[in-house]
Amino acid sequence: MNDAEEAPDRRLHPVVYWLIVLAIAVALGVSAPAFFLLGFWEMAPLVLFATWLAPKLTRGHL
Amino acid sequence: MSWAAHDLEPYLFRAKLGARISLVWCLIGSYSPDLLTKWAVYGFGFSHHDAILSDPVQFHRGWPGAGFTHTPFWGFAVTGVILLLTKNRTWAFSYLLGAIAHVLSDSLDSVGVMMLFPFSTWHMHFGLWEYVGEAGRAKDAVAYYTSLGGVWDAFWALWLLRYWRMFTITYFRDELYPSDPFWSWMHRFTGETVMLTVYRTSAFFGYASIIGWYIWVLAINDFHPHLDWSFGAPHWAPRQGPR
Repeated sequence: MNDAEEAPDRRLHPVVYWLIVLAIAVALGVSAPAFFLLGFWEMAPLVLFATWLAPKLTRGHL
Repeated sequence: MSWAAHDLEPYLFRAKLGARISLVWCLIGSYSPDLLTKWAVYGFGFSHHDAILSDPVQFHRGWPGAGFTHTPFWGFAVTGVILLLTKNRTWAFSYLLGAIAHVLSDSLDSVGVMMLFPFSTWHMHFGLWEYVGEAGRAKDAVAYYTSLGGVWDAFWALWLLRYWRMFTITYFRDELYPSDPFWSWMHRFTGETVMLTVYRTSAFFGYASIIGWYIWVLAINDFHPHLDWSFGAPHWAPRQGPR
């Protein structure tokens, strides 16, 4: 039997992953609202990074 | 003024009207009235407030001033230019819908908008919450999220939750991309990760900002950190707009 097949998939469910990203965004915003709660451009780098990272950390696509 | 409602409304229109809406152009329409004016209304600084204008309310919503950007007239005028330049009716209609939604949302505060401009400078205003933009961004956040303004944002956020599947890659690939030539144009310059970022960021920001501002206003900030969902709140702010 192949060990790789038996290894549990520890990657996150995509919904859980994006809820964690949202929690990070909220935490950043609450700690520094002048930098993270102002608009599209302040949030775009985080969403870009999270979108790039998602396929590596999650099971399937969201 | 409204906050995250402007970020979320276009997604609801797309969810309801489907391919008849270009999300990007609807977002541009929704952002456009504040794009060149809001920074000047708030002035410099966040917790401290350095005013730029002597009368930011008149500048933002009035005439003389830049208040024409918050009128149906302006929405239709820019829509005409978009139609002329792109020949794309979906893009033009989407811009118009976003711009009109912004105007109608802003009519809910105490200052309102010049609905009949350029024929009249009368302000249509429902006064559900007080306009406090002149006090700077931090106090405006407190005013907005302790009043019915925050409820207005939450209303759109909760409604949009029903359509969460529209933020999946599958929806983007199967529904959004094929129905709007904007995305194939953008694909000439960049990959799917950047396109998904452009597609999702306003909604993500809308949710993060509503939750974040509520926590900041009620638990971190110590300036009037109490909910007041009465008509025309907050009552600590000086009355702005027509009486």
